[in-house]
Amino acid sequence: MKLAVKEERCSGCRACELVCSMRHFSQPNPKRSAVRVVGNFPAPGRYSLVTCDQCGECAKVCPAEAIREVNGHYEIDRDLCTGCLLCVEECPRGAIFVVGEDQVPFKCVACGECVAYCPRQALVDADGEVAWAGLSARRRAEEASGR
Amino acid sequence: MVRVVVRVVGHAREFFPGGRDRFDLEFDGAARVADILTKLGVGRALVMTAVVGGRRRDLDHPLTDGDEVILMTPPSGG
Amino acid sequence: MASGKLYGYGGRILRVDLGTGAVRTEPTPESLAREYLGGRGFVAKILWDELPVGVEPFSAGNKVVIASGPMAGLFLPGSGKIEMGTKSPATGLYGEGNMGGHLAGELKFAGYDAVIIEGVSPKPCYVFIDDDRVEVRDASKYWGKGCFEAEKMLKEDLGEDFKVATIGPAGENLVVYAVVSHDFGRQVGRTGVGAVLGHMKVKAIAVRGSRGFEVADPAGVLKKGKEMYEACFAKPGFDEWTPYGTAGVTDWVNEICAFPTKNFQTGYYERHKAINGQTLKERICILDKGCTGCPIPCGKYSRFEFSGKTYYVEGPEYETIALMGGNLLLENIEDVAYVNYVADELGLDTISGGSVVAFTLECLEKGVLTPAEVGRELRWGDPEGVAWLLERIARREGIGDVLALGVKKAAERFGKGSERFAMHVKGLEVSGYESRYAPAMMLAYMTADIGAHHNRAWAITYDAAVGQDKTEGKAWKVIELQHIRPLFDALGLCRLQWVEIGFELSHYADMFPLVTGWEYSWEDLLKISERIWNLTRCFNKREKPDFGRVYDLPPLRWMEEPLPSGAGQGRCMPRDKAEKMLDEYYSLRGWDSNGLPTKGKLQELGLGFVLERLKLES
Repeated sequence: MKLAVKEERCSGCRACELVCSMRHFSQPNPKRSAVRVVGNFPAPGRYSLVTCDQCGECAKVCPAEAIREVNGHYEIDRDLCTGCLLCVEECPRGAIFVVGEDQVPFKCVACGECVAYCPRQALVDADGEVAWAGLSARRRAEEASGR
Repeated sequence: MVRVVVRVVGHAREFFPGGRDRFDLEFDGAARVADILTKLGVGRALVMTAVVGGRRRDLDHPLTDGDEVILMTPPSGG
Repeated sequence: MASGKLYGYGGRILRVDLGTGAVRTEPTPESLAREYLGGRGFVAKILWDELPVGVEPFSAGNKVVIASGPMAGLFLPGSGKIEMGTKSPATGLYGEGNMGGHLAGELKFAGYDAVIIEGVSPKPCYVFIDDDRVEVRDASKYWGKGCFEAEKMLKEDLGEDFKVATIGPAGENLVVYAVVSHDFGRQVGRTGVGAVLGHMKVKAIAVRGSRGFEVADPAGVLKKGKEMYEACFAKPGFDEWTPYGTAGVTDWVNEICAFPTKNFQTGYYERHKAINGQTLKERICILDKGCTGCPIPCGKYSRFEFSGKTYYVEGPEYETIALMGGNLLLENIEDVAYVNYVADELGLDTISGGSVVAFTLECLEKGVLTPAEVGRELRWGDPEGVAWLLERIARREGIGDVLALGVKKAAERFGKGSERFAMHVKGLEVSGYESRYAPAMMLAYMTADIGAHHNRAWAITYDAAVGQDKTEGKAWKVIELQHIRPLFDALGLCRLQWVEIGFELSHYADMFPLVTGWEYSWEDLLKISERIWNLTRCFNKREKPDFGRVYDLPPLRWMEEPLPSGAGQGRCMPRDKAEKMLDEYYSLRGWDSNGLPTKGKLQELGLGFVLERLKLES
């Protein structure tokens, strides 16, 4: 799964932030989302997305070697992390986050939920493995109506 | 024989037969979108526009066998 | 009151005392949540409990209650709605408005379900909320700025991730239809909540939350949320509806002769195609902009040129196209977008504002006012004249000082028969549906709790379905809608997924227990909605001892003046017919013949405490 964005399609709804935090932290909380929506208003009047492109810089800078590559994406090992937050500082896209009293930061692990559920298909899988959930939903609806 | 699939969208769906949002209809000979409304017993006032083959059409648009027609009933305004 | 763990809630109510600058939090009472849900339910109950009887809207005794709801801020379609309420300076009755954007969720993410703002600040201030850190901060650098300008400044100063709501000069100057603006284009529009905040000297509220909140069954909520989105994605209207949003209804409303045209003189505007949804989309819309969780973003963010300058505005949406487009005979979408922008930056309601401008133009037309008294030659169809008048109103200059009070009070001041074309019910200007050829919609306007607003019961399709001349047998439908639609306002949800693309109500009923852990059926929820409906009715009675049937009558134009042309030519609603509709309505509601809830009805709904209050004061 290789997350890519089509920012011009983003409506700012933040469904991505909500599905990410629900999936990984079991609570609705955009501050615990690894993808972020940023507004640019009143002008030019569009949204930008902060996403991880799995560049691996974080793994390079981590002094505890707590960030490793798994199936093409980078994950923070909570047990090895010392909470130095160097990765948060060094991430070129600002896509690693830490919240409140947490010691361990978090980042995108390419689960694909935001791709499946972005209502605007503004987040896509450039590898074509994860599809928009609407496609299968529409197929199921067609089949159910006996067409 | 003209067979069409009709889907109903919007707030006034509830006023269609059975409150259904899908109908499979057949017409002998030529038919227009307006004939769908006659067959379903629904007043023209309830349908704003029709979408046929992905394009907005008015109620006089002729139907072709196999068309999917989406009847847009009024949304609620703000 | 007991406060067990509340799932689906932020968990706390924040109380801000502007006189002392003191800030207090209290746990959200479980009984309040169970019996009133949130949103409009919290607003109604808190105002009933805490406002002194007969309090002046522009006094230190009034309060503004801001409330999110248990289904806001969730991964589900349309979870972004917040309510704000107060005693309205426009009507002297229950005042409440609703808006989307992202404030409803953010308040809960910070750990709050509601904010109660009380007292008056000695200096311009704003309420700063960053999780547990809450401060009343100096707002002198923002005071006087437009709504968008102030929001932009605050986001630059605090962080783009703060969700900000602002008032504009109209609110600062106590225009009774001043709004609270948010997210560069959403407003709590009706009943003048912005004016009460202006009197309190509150310029803005800024919220950032990182705590999140808990739901009863997280795995269940995630699974159900996915199901809800998939159901929306598969609806036939999913792709079709969004491009035009609410503006898409413009042509249809004209066809059934319900489009406010020239101060509701007629119901059809010849130039409607130049200001409809298609034209909006083709000429000026640059972005589909949406609220928290919304899959069918209704916001049409636009960029357009006017007099050689570039402007940005979210809109115009249907109500503005109606009240500022057809109602003022503006000729193209850019003109409507421009006056929309002017109203939005000044921070006044495009519905009431459009109605006030139209009223003024008709006063000029009929010689009730002279151009000298107005201060300028104004004519129909002139966007610059409209903008000029809106500025005068926002700054309370010249004729604007009286017009800032709304059409009802303006007509009382101007006299000369102008009350015949002051388009209001209970002092709130009629919104986007000319209803002489739509009796159910007219009944909806007559009986809405805050005055003439359509959001409680959008009944016009019912008129189209069963016949636009029929006046009997329609009350049941208005009542049904008045329970379903405001329920969304108590839950923090947007109705449009259900209304526009047929998203089934049962989804919400299935989700509610997963979020809250409470086994409420849809009928249980509707009962709570009926409770809230009756409570706000009683609030109005409490505040106006003569409240009753006479407040539910339609505007004089609708009772006395038949439509002169169009499909509905010759129709109007004479008083005796209006009263018959009310007879039927009151009877079905379990109210007495003066339109007040009976003792039996109040007890049935758990509103017995109302009886004691009303008894004590009568």
